[in-house]
Formats: sequence, C-alpha cells, structure tokens
Amino acid sequence: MTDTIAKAQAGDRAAMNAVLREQLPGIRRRVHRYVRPPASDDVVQDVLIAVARGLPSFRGDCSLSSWCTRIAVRTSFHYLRSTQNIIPFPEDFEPVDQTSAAARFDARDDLRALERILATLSPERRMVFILQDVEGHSAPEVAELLEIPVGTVYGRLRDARRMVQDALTAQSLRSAGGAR
Amino acid sequence: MSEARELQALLRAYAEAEPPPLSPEAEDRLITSVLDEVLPVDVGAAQADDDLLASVLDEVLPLAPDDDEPIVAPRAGANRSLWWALAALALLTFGTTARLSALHDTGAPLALSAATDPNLIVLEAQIGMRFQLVQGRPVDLDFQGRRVHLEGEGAVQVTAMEPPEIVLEQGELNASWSPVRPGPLRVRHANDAVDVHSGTSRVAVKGEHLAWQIVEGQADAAPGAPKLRVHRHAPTEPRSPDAEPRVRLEPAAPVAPEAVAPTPTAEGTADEGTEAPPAALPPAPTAESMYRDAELAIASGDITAASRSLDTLRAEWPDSPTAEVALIELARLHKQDDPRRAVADALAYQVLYPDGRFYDEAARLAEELTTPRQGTSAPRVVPLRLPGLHR
Repeated sequence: MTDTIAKAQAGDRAAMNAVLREQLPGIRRRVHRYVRPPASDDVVQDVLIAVARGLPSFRGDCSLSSWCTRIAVRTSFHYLRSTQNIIPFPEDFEPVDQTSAAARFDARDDLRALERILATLSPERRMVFILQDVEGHSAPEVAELLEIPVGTVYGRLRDARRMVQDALTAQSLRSAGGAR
Repeated sequence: MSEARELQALLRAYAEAEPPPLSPEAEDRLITSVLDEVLPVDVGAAQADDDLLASVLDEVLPLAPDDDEPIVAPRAGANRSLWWALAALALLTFGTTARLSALHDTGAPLALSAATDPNLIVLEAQIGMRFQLVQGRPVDLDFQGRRVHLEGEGAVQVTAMEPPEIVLEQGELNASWSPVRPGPLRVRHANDAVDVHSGTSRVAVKGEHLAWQIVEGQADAAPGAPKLRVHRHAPTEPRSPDAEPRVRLEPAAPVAPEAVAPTPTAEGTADEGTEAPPAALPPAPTAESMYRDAELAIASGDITAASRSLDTLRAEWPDSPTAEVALIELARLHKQDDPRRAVADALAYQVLYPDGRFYDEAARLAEELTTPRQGTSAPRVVPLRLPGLHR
C-alpha cells in the first residue's frame, strides 16, 4: 500500500483511486455514525475530497486510516456544528452481527432510542460521547481529534453521559409504566 | 442486566452497526467524482490516430442530448476525449482554416473550424449544441456574428441564440449564462469552485449542496446552489464616481441554510456607451501585487476593496502560496463585519490547507464564531455549510 500511497501523492489517478476505495468503507462507517443521511453522503464526499487533496501532505506519521479518521471526524464535526444536523440513523441501519451484543435485546428499538437521545445532545457533546464511549477513543485522542482541550472533553463527556443516562432511565420508566 | 451493562451493550451495538452498503455503481460514481474534482484527467496528449477516430464515432453516436444522468463527473472523461478528438481531427486533417462537419451530442451536424491560433476552435452556435470545453482548448462560439470566447472546463450547451444563452456544467455546477453586454466568458475550475469571468451577465445557478458566492455580477440562485464566482471581465472601464451601480448584486432566491451567503461587493461601472480605451495598460497584476493592494485597502480601512482583491487573488492564482494567506486574511477581515463569511473562509482554510501555517488560527476562529454566546442556545453564526467541498 505504501507504493500506492506514494504514487497517489504524486498525482497518479489509478493509485488515488485505489487509496480512496481502500479508505471508503471506514470513512462511511464513521461519517454515518455522526451525520444523518442524506447529508452523510455529502459529508463522505467532502471527506474523500479532503483526503485526496491533502494526501500529498500525508507524511506517514500515523496510519493512513487514522489520518482519514481525523479528517472524517473534523469534517463531520464542522458540518454538525454548522447545520445542527441531528444524529444519523436511517431505517436500514442494521447491526452487522446479530449474535453479538446487539442481539441481546431488541436492537432496532433500543438503537433507535439511543439515536433519539443522542439527537438531543449538542454536536459538541454528541461527538465527544460517540468518539469516547462508542468508538473507544481516549480523552486525549478525542481532544486531539476535535482540537479542544482535554478538560473540555471531560466536561462535555460528563454532561453527555448524564444526559444519556437520564434519558434512558426516563424512557425505561415510561416503558415500565406502559407495560402495566 | 444492570443499567450500566445494558448501556454498555447498547453502545457496543451502536458501534457495530454498519451503514447501508454502497452499490458498486454508486461507489464508482462517488470515487470518480472525487478524482475528477481533485485529479482531472489529462487530455493534453495528442492521440489523433485511427483508433482515436474510431473511438470518436463510438462515443459520439450513442450520446443522447439530454439524458437524466447526474451531472457529477462520470461522462466528463468520455466527453473530454471526444472534444479533443474533434479538435485534433480539425487541426490535423483539414489544416488551420478548413471547415468540417462533425457530430455533437444532439446528433445534428456541427460546424467546426480551426482558427489561425492552433489552440482556438471556432464553433457556429446552434440551439441544442452541446460540447465539452477542455482546459487549454479555448473555443469561440459564434452566435450569428457575435462571438463569445470560452475558456476553461466543463460541458457547454447552447440554449438560445438571441440573446445568446448557454448552460455550463462542471461537476455539480449547472448554470445558465446570458451576456447582458458582449464580452468573453472564461470558466475556470479553481480548487473548490468554478470561477466564471465574464462581462455583465445574467447567471442562473442550479444545483445543490454547494456554496455560492457572487463577487460581482448578478445571479439567480437556486437554494443550495454551487459556488460560483462571477467577475466582470473588463476592469479598465472608466467609471463615473457618482454613477449608480448598474448591476445589482443579490441572490434572487433564498439561499439554503447550508449555503454560504454571498457577500457581493458591488462596484459601480460606467454608463452605457461611454466606454473609452484606457490611455495606457496597467502592468499585469500578480498574486503579490494583488495582495499588496489588499494590504493597502486594509490599511485605509476599505474592507470591501480589500476583500475584493483577496477574492480575486484566490480566484486568479489559487495555487499561489499567497492564496493561502489571502484565505486566512479574508477570515480575519470578515470576523467583525460578516462572521458568517469569516466562518466559511476559516473552514475552507482548514479543508484546503490541513497543514497550513494558519490552520490553528482558522480552527480557533471557526470555533469562536460558531460557539454559542454565554446564556444563549443559538450559535453566534447561523447554520452554515462547508463551502465548496463539493464541488
């Protein structure tokens, strides 16, 4: 892949094609977590263009996918902040592995509920929450990705967790009430 | 299951969820549009041989005049090679002054001639004519004696003869252009935008997702229209200091929330019919001289003039190192008077120059201007779309 990247950096169209195709699934997966369709498709295209334009400046300090992740996160974050776009969750957004954790409960309903809850968060809190609690980045990594101080990450994460927990509790109480 | 474990499982499920798969065709379209945006196909190499002529016929005949294909890129490569082939055919087979008939997308005969300038192609305009404009291959479109000079890149379709009207398509740009006064039309793809330089014209823009910006001129824009810069082509026209701006600069339709609001910089021009050639041509401007002009304007407090110079610099010399400085300067410049524009410029800077010297400053500026003020829930800057990323 290194040769391909070097060729793509030099402007080789075929190599750039290969690089973009290689990175596309990861970029889509991430962007679709942050941005609601159909805008997510636009943001994916934005990210690909930014990747293609910025590739000559990629120095290999990190893996290409990490570098693309950074671009995907920042582009999505800017988009969310600028449009107040609510969180993505298309009707056909399916868990990949039905035997995994998702299968232990009614995945669709619960995931939709989570989506609705995340949609009530500000883009700042939402991104921090998804990056750290969903994607598993550390707070310093989140700070670096979003270009904010680590202390801000902790503050936003604390708020987001509290709001998500409160909302889930409220929903659970409502469900229990409805069942009686 | 405890609440915490339940939440953990839920978050894991959310992390494992996949977006709907992309069809191979959609993936091809997406990648091709990005490649065409960033790495346009080089069609400069001459290939006027028998195989090429055969491929021309293969390409020309099946094309429909107005198919429903999305404008984004896929046909660009084919059309470019078609156009190059027609030009090569004219030049190599018939010499520099001969005429020939060929076919264009409508399937009707296309009168085509090569002028004395080996790079210039002259076409007789016909309604419905459609062809691909290729970088480095200027075209003179002849509207019954009234020549319109075209340079740049993109598909061109003639939609009216009197007054002349053409439709330009490039990437997601779809704009109909009609000159109010005679003048050349130059279409140039500049990074994230399509620059249209022309005499006074009416421009109607169609399209979605992209920001648009009218530097000077008049445009009717659909919501979320592509970024389009319209420059007057003849800046040397004499100008009466009291003259009212002859061209109103405003969008005729509301701009979508995600579109960057235009910041037209109206400039009055001379009355009709009072043009006179300038006594002496000023030295050709350069990126540096344009930046100096902007600096002088800033020093004198003329934000409009400074902004115009910086915009022109970015449009004319997008690859110049000064263009990077111009972009951050624009963001600084508009921080107070037009924060929406400032944010657009700051975000554009981050996208265009991810390793730029002023990246941190641009990020801070965008953050500052989009963060809600204390005690309010609304951001300081209303919804805004990243400018020109689609292009």
